[in-house]
Parts: sequence; C-alpha cells; structure tokens
Amino acid sequence: MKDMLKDLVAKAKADYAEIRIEDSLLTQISYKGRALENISESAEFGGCVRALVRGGWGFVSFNRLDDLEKKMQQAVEQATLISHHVTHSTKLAPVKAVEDAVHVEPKHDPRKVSLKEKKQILEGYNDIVLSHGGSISTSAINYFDKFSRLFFANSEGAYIEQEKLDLGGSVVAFANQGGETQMGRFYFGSAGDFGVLVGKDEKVRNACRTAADLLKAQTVKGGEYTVIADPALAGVFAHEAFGHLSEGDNVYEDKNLQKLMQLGETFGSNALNIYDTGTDTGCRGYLKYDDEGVPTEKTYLIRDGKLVGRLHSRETAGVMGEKPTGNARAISYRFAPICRMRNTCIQPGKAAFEDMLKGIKLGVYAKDSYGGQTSHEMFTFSAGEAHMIRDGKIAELVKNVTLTGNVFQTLRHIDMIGSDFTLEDSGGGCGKGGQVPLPVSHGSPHIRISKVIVGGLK
Amino acid sequence: MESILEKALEAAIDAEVFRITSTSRQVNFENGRLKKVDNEEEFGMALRLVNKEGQVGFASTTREDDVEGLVKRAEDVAEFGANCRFDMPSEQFSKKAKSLPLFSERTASMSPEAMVEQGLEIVRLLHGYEPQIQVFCGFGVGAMEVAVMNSAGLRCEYAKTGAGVGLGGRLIEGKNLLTCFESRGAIDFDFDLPALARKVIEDFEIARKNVPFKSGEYPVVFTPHAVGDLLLPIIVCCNGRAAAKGISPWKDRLGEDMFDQRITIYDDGLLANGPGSAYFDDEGVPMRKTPIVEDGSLENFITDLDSAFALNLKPTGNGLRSKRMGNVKDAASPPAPAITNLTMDGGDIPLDDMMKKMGDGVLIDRLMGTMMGNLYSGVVSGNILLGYKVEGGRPVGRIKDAMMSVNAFEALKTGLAGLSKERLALGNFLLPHVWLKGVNIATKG
Repeated sequence: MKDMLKDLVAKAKADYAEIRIEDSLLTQISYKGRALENISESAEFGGCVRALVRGGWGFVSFNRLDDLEKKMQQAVEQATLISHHVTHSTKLAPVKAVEDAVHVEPKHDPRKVSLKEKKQILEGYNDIVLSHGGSISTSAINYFDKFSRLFFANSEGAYIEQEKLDLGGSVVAFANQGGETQMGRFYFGSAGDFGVLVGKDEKVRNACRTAADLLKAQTVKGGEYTVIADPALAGVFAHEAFGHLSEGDNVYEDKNLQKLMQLGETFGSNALNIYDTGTDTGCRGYLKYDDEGVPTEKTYLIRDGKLVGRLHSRETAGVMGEKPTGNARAISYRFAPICRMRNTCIQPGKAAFEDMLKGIKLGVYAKDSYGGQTSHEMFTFSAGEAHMIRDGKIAELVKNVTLTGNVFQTLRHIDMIGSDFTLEDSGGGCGKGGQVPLPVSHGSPHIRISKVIVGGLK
Repeated sequence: MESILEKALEAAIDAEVFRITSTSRQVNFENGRLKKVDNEEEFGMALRLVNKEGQVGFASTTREDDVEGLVKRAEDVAEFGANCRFDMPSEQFSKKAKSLPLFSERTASMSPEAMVEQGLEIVRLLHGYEPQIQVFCGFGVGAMEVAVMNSAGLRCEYAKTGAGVGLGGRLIEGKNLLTCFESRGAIDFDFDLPALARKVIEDFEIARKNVPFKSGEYPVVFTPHAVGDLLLPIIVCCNGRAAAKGISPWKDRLGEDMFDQRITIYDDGLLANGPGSAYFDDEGVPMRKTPIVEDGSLENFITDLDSAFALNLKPTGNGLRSKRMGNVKDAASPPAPAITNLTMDGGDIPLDDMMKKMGDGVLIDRLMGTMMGNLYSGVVSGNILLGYKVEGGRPVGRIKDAMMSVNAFEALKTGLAGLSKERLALGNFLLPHVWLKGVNIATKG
C-alpha cells in the first residue's frame, strides 16, 4: 500500500497532492422499548484524492479503488479548471513530512467484547428504564463502535497509517402523561474505552427520574437571567460560542472579521481561558494527526481573556501567516478536510459552586445539553435539565430551557469560573459543511454568566 | 444482486438486497472566490435477512466483491437479532407512478464549467450590491441508481437525479455579523439563480438596519423557511416508529381533531420535482401521497414495514435508509420511517394582504437551534437568526439577540391567524407563510 500511494501522489502534476484511504467496520445496536430495533455490521472501504493547482482545489472520492491514477488526474484537472479563475495566491503552511504508524491501545477494547455481551449490558439498562414504573413509558437505546484504519500520503513525502476507535451512544427514558412526552438521558462516548458504558445503572435511573420530574415541571418564563451552566452545558457553550468562530476558514479571507478577531483582542475577563486540544487520549476528540497529516496540539484560543489563537488547516494558517494547529478534519473519505474542533475546553478557575449561587436573586441553573448551534455571532444551546435559582438557592425544576448569546457580549458576561472540571463525551457530534456527526469532546468547570436570554412561553 | 440473494437464501428463509450507485459533482465558491470542484462516486449494498429462527440480521458494504463477507456478517448478527414481524413486499410499483419524471438529462450532464459560470455571475450580482459581502455559493448535481430486490419476488429499480444550490453571503458592519442566504433542492436543476440572488440582496437591504425591540407577545408571520421549524414537532410525532413505541404522544390519537381546520399537511413521495420523490421507498414499497393532517385532523402516521406492522396499518412507503443526522441516502443505515417530501396547504389570502392585515408585528425568516429542544412536547424554541419588525405590513428592520418560543401544537390549534396563498418549494418542503397570534419573544432588558 505504502509505495503505491506515495508513488501516486509524487507523480501528480499539482502544487500539492494527497490521498486518503479508509477501511472501517461499524457495529450498531439499537432498541426502541423492549424491541431490538437494529443490530448491524457495516463495512466501509473508500478513498479520496485532493490536488491543489495554483490556488484551486480538486477533490475526488470513490469506493472503487481501481484506476487511482485516473482519479488523481481528474482531481488535477478539476483544480486546473479553477486555477484559471484564481486571482489570489494560496500557500500551505509548511509542516514536516511525517512518516508514522499509529495504533490504538484501548483501555477496554470494544472489539474484544462479543455482540452477546454488548447486548446484555444494553438490555440491562433497558430493563432498568422499562421496569422503572410511574410515568416512564418507554426507552430508546443507541450504541455504536467503529474501528477504522486510515492511510494518508501527500506529495511532500508524508505517509501515515492511523488506527482509530470511536464508540458512543445513549440511553433515553421517555415519560408520558396527558399527551405530553419528556425525556431524560444518559449518554456516553470514548475513543475506545468500552468501560464508559459498564456499571452505569445509577446514571440510567437518574435519566428516568429526570424524565418523570420534567413532566411535572413548568415551562421556564422567557427573559434575561443570570445562568449557572454545569460542565456539560458550559462545554457546549464554549464550542458554540467561541470554538466555531475561531475556525480559521471563517477568518482567513474576511478582512472585516480579521479586524474584529485580531490576536490580542479582549473577549472576556482575565479569568477566562479557552483551548482546543487533540492530545487528550481517550476522549472522542483525540487524534494524533489531523487529516492533512499535521500533528495535533493543545491550542489556546483565549488566554487571560484575550484572543491568542485559531484553529487552522494548512491553507488557512498559510494565508494568515500563522502556525498550523492540526485542526483540518474530515468526517470520512467522502469529504475534504476543513477546520474543525477536537476537544474544546474552558480551563478551571477558582470559584466554588456555593459562591456562584450567592447574590443571584432570580436565575437559572442549567444542566446537561441537548446541543447547540451558532451563526458565529449569535449562538444557542439547550439544557437537558434546569432549575430556577431563587434568592441564592436552587429552586424548582423548569423545562424547555433554550439559551442564546452573542459572542461579542456573552463571553464578557462570564463572571465566575468554577474550580471543578469535567470532560464530556457524548455519542453525538458536531456538524459543519454537511460533515456530521464529527466526534468532538468538551470540557469545562461550572461557569456563571449574567444577562443570558432564555426563550420561554408566557 | 441476484447472487447475493441466492447466497443469503442458502441459510436464510427471507432476504432483501438494497443497492445504491451514485455520482455527483459540486462546485464551491467561498469568500467570493472559486475554491473547489468535487467529484464523488459512491457504491453501497445492504443485506437484510431472516434466519431459520426468524431473526433479522443486517449488514452493509461498499465493496462490490464483498458478497461472502456481507452474507456472513448478516448471518452472524441475525443470531442476536429481533424476530422479523413483517412480510417482505412483493407488490411491484405501479405504472402510473412511473409517469413521474425522476431523471433530468440536463442535470445529469451538467458540467463543472457551467456551474462555475453561474457561480461567477452570482458573485458579480452580490458584489454589485455590496463589495464587502463575503459571498458563498455552492452547486451540486448528481445521479443515482437505486435497486431493491427480495425473496418475495420483488425486483425494482430507478434512476434519479438531484440538484442543489445554496448562495448568499456574510456582511460585517461594526460588531454586527449578518448572513443572508437562499438554498433550493430538486430533481431537476431548474433554479432561477438571479432571482435567488435578488432575494438575498433584498434581505441584506432590510436586515442591515437593526431596530430596537422589546420582549413580549407579538403576532408573527413565519416565512416558509421558519414554518419548516414550526412543523418539526409534527414531523417527529407523526413518525410511525415513534408512535409504535409510545414515544410520540399521538400514538392513540388517529382521527382526532388536533389542529385548526385550515391545517392540512401531506407526506408526498410523488411530488413533481421533489427531491424526496421516488417510485418506491428503500424497502420496495411504492411511494404515495399520505395525508398526515387533513382539515386539522390527524390522519396517518408515516411508516416503514416494521412500524406499519406494529401499528396494524398499511406501510406508507416511508421506509428510507438515511445517514444518521442527515437525509443522505446511505446503504449502511437500516430502513426507518422518514419524510419524503412534506407539503402544507396554503390559504386563500395573498401574502401581501396578509402582511397588511397583520399591520404591526414580526416577520420571522430563519430560526436557529430549534432542533435541540424536546420536540415531542410541541415546543419550538430558537434564536431569531433573521427576523424583522413589521410596521404597517412592511418589514422596517432587523431584530437581533432574541429568542422565539411557541408551543406549535397549541399555536396551530388556537393561535392560527392565516395561511398565505403562495407556497414556496424549499428542498423537500412545499410550504406557505403562516401567521400566528401571540408568539412569545424574549430579548435583552
């Protein structure tokens, strides 16, 4: 494989050329209620070539690996077609051409767990939900694990073989009463540790209790509140509020945004530090090399409240004259790599949770996350569970809590950062440019944010 | 495919093979510049079999020569599989359905050069309005062949084209980021691109001006884009699987008057030029037009074979194989009930008259984050990504940093003020403007 791929990219008539081949096996198990909904094994084998000719990119993806030379030629032709219209110069930031082989060393290897055992564990959780009683009406369980072997070669002499393991899923309890449905969830994810879903009975029971309690909760009243976000929600907040805006492809050709996003610009208080890292082994956002063969690193985005970095591909780093950070990721061989996050975290501060509560007359304690979305300037994130805070104390449960913020205001409104820290992995992922769900992770302490707009009914 | 079926039936009592072959081309402009031409060739096969014990096994592959591996994996997982409850269909799709055009020659043969030319024109149009706009624009065309065969004797296949376009831009003025865009999808590349560019320019023109706004309850006209968000709770609750498993709160409510009498919503798998249309679904069941809500009454769930059996209903031709978190056809995903094309009937009032009748209120065009809530509860809550304050029936400026929340079940029952006569085709949605009374909007202060 190695010689064939290296030879192919070396011969390409392009300024830069690369090939990626992916060979993977995906196992999925899902339940809806008592019934097993799906148990399947999907083998995927495919590849792609990408060529850069005078600033234009050509990209070809395929499942049939015959005649790779023709595919490379097609990518070069497509890139050449574009180059006739290109008036700007694109340069890729230089990186050392790496030759490496990366093997996964899972803590508890899902490949060594039989389908029978996987089923038994999931059915155990299903039993907990379905025998919970009360208003709990049914369950939904999803589990997947995916083992991939990735081969990468580029025309600069890099050749990397990388193994990846990814697993995740969720156990959802549904409560039903008077025509209303509410949910509680336990989710899990890991870059290869099957242990994340072993012995989680209590978490599943918690999901049941949350669903049942939410049926009795009132819908939050819309308005502006001081919000304490738990680590799960604060991590999503960091991802949506700042991670996406930091992606180099947003900034590298937009002079107006560059003015707003100059390194050194203040975005938050001195206590605010946000980073994105590919080096945390075990979490789903871990990767040794990105999909351009660039080693990943811990990249600070905000340090002491000031903008200090961005998430780059080789192209965005090259154009901006900054250092590549190993953030060029593709969800599969069907896509070209684009600037993406890995594991995005707010660094712990000094505040104790009790102190955060103090002084809040009326606020919201929002926990767990249903996800979020961003337009770069404004963003939303939804809580899985939330309580009102009244006179410094956690009060009644409320439901349907969706929050919104504005990057130029809300980060400045983070007025307390907790001393705790939790890394969160779910079975979901991030979406951008049609590439969804990309495995990413979040980490954060509890944070307190003032003046957050919460949507709600009257 | 026949050989896979034969091989599977050596040990299985029933089997079904699904195959998809596709090619597509995309041209992308970013930041006003031509960036990328993509070419994709895809192949995928899936096997679903029922073993002698009656258990279902599912496996897929992207290798054509992986017949033995495919059959073995399906047999292996079947040992742990659920009992098969449904019969595989033998019904061949009707000749009548076949009169629906699914394949557009000009779309299948559209060259990257032609798309490049059109993209350059869009950039020129938007930059002609405002050179500071960071224009993005993407075109995609493709053709696919889908085939389903099973041991009940079903043999069906079709070839279909698909086309998509998205265009717009981002304009930064001060600390104000404004993105306006339009996107369309269809079987045939029949888009009026200059008209879409003009619409984007119109939006920029009004939305560049932010206007002050207070929290409260307002009459709101939702554009068809935002109506798509408003209908999300209905889409998840009418899903046959959610109904069969008791997740949907509607499971025992077929035939009930759930909405205002003016509300009629269909799933239409035979919609002309609808990107979700086909002769049959991914289990080989003929597609059709299914009323979901008719004159306010809940009429049907959309079903695949399994959920139809569980609900004791006829399958509606909605058994689709779609990628997790996306609506791209994918051999690796087992069939599940999903919308083909969703259409909502319009009313009898022209949009302009409806806006005039509302007078003062809000026009919401785009919402963000609406997917993230608990849709089964009917609540749709999202940031107003693009919305306008309306005075005297005319949008006067953009409202920002605001959240809209509404219980769609209640609002479409007791809060409906009107439906526009005009409808807009947006990908696999065909929707009118919807005017609701008393929608809650929360903002700063």
